Amino acid sequence: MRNLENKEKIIQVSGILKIIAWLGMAWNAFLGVSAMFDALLLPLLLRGGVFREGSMPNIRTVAWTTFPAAVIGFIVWWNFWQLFRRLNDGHIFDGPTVARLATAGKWKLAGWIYSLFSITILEYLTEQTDSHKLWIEFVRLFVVEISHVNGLIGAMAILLAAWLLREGQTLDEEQKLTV
Amino acid sequence: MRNFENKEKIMKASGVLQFVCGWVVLGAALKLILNALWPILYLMRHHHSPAPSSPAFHDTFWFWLELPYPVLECLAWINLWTFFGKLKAGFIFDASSVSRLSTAGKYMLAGAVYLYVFEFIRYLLDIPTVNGPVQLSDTTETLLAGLTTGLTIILAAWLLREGQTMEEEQKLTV
Repeated sequence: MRNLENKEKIIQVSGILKIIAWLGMAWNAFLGVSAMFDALLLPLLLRGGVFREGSMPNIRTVAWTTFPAAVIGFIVWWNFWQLFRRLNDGHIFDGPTVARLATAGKWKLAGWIYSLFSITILEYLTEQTDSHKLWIEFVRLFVVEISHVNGLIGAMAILLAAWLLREGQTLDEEQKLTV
Repeated sequence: MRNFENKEKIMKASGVLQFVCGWVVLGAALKLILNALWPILYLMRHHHSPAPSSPAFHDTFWFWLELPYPVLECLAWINLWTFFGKLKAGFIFDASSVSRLSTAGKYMLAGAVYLYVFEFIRYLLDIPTVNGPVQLSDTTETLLAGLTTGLTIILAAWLLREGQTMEEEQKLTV
């Protein structure tokens, strides 16, 4: 008889990670809602006070760049939550489980690419060299930003884990066919 | 015939991640050596042993007390580096690959817990770091990140172990 101790451990830890994923979702939802509040309602409440200043970026610009990042972050954590929920239910080498992890990895990659552009644009707008805002400066900031590879490595690790699970899924399917 | 496209992708991505891990291992080892040598260099420069009540004594003492954290971090990354090396070589559902990943996760968990306990003691005794007083919120954030990463790695190792069991069963069937 097969030893199910390992599967039990997977189910237990998935339960804990499911809660963490839920917290990640909630945090990104909060970030998105607060960004929308800053972008749409705050200008009305403050009657444009801080938004009329000529210096960029103002709160509204920051909010508009934060919102898509929060949406992408929410989708990544939602996929993780679904993945851990499925693992917690015992569906380990299952098509949808693998697909959830792969989707989370792809969105994480998309989030990294988006952050490259949004952070570069924000830094470009923040720089005080008003007369020297050239495209070459934008490229320089972009190159500096591209060197921050943490997001890319994280996405690659998630995609690799998804491919490993797919390999396991193939084995599981082959085993079922053999039986 | 089985499709090996997925396995090829795993091997390619593992190569890249092994390269990255190699650099992280180098960085962690350098940090470890600096942490270990810093108090000695400090004492050599000042040609005397600091008095137990002096700030220099405290710096030396806390520097060495922090040493297990970079050691654990370094060990975790060495295990990850070896794991990706084995994946790159094509040993996916292999006992040693699985144990490498599991060990890396355990070291990462131990490192996060040690750092938190260490920083918490510093916070209680009100002993500042090089960058100023200990911020408990930052330390808690680091602990949570470390715990999540460690647990995720251990979970991935258990998933691989499940795959390993299936592969062994399949070999027995064939």
